[in-house]
Amino acid sequence: MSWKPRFLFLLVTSVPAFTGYPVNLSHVEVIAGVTYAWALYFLIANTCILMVMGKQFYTNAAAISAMITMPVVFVGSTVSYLIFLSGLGYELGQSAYSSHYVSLCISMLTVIPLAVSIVGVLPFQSFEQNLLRNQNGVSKLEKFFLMFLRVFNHILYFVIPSILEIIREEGQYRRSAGSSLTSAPELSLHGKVKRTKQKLIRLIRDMIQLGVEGICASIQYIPIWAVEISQLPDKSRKI
Amino acid sequence: MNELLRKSTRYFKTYEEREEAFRNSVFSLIPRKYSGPKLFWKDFGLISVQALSKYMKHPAAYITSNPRDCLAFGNPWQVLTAAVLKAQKADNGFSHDVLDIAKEFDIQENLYQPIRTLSGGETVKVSLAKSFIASKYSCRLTIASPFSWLSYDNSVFLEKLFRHYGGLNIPIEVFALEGEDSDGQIVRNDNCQKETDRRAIGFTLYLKGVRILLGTPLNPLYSQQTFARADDFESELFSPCLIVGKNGQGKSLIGKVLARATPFQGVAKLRCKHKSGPTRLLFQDVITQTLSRSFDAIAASSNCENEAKPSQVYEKILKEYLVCLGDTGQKASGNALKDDLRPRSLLEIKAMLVAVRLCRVPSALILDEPDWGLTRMSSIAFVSAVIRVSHDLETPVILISHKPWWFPIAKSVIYVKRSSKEIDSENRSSFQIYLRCNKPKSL
Repeated sequence: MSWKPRFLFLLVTSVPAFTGYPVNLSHVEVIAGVTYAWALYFLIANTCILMVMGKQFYTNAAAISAMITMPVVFVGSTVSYLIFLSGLGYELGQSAYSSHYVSLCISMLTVIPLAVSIVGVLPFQSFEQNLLRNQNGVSKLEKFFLMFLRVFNHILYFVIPSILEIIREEGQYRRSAGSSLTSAPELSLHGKVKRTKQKLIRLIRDMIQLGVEGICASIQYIPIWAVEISQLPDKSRKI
Repeated sequence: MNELLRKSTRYFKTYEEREEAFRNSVFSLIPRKYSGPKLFWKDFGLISVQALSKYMKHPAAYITSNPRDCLAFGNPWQVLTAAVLKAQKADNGFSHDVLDIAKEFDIQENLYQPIRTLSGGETVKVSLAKSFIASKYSCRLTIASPFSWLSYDNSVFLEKLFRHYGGLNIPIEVFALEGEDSDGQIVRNDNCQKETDRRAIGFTLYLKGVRILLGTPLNPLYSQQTFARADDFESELFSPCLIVGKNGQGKSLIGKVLARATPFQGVAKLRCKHKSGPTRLLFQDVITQTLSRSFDAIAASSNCENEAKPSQVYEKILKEYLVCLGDTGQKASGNALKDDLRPRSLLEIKAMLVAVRLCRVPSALILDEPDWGLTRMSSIAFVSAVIRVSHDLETPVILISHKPWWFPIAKSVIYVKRSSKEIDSENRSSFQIYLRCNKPKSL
């Protein structure tokens, strides 16, 4: 099947996810936070992705979705619980926020695979190829699109893989360091708290560093590419 | 290298000076990333409309210090077609065919291959071919450190480009580091080498059924996939071990597999006596490896609790480095550098990255193109210093390079060569990487 019918099919499938219609009309719940409509839609959307994109793609998309969803849901609900414990909010108890996170979890596990599939089905490589095939030049809109594709491909194929390679290389060491630490003699409660605090600080610092590196590496060559692309002959010009 | 190349080349003492000169030649359109995010944002903010218009008035054909970065499209056909379109815009009579130019630069088989899956050598040839066409719409040619990315086998293409620009009387500017273009080997019995000859540390390299998916971890989202397979290999080797091969043969890929920096299937092991830690790797692109971290943040990225502190290993490396350079001055003092807030040089950053890796005594240390960003003298001193410090920790060192400089210090040499690409029935392309080892030198 070519990309066009697959794209169209996924686009139609994603309408309820992105508009809320008609899934948000039903309020009958299977469990707190999950309505029958959302549960059914979750199953239909994921089955459609599996059928249209294949097993290999689906497993990757599901893994990506889980990786994004789990920290958001668990950290979010933990923060809400801490707010409840501190007495700053949620006077009604856990029931005031629990259903929200269950609902968030199911919608994220539906929306993210759909979004990843829609991006995955688009043949960006062919778009770039076709834009340059016209010997009469490139229109302004096409130049914008070429620039978008350049940055998108650069991030997807160079920035992310390079950062992942570095994380993997350093992760080897951290795992090895971690295993030797776990085999160390039992720590006191104070020691455990200190270590957890250090780990948390390191995690926050690493996330900030990765974000900064990702942004810098993504935009570093934009000016020079903008020059390259803007130098292409305009479509109106006769050659 | 021809006379024109020699005349056009300006040599610099440090990476920072060279990069600054190249940046100026492209009207500061590339923000500096090697000195941390602060300087990067300052540079980025200064890229104004003025800089862009200046460039448009005096367009230059350019090749960046990583040639991949100057290719603004998805595959070689697109890069060359865009260049041809621009050449036709400048000269209506221009009638070169993309395939003809691709043949001239020996990339006809890679025309439709995504740039993300091209080898280093193929990327170099694509950038040279693009610059060849760019002569039609550029008023000069400017190249950053060509000898750091060009293997001697591919120098014929660079010479072709130079002859072409020379014939058209278009000015050429080459920005290189001192000694970068030297094809001579290190002189034996050099001050730096006596120590590296002192002892040999043995280790075993074992590869079985290694299969690597190229491109990106997100590749499974797309239909076109490229795989590399490494030939099964097992050999007793001695440190320092040298992995050599032309551009794009898969040297760095082998290094990344050994350091587990890239996901792969199969078994890749590096066994060294009494060592159980992971194999560590210093990437060629150390600037990306810093992940925009400051010097102190790199030092703090190691959580050695019972081992040597990174700063101690760093000081040791710098001390050895200066000894190799024949400088016994106070610059070797780590304390003098400790509280120094100036932007660190590439050499200092490399030394700290190595120190962080060595402080936990890894099973081996791999240095990918260790001369990248350093002058010849500096890189020889740096590599010798790293070998000495590593050997003191009984850690074997593996050098990956396409330069013949390192042969005299290597106690084992692995030659890497790859087969041509094959496409299977499912439109997946693959190639095989062969490793061949010479007999270790008498110890």
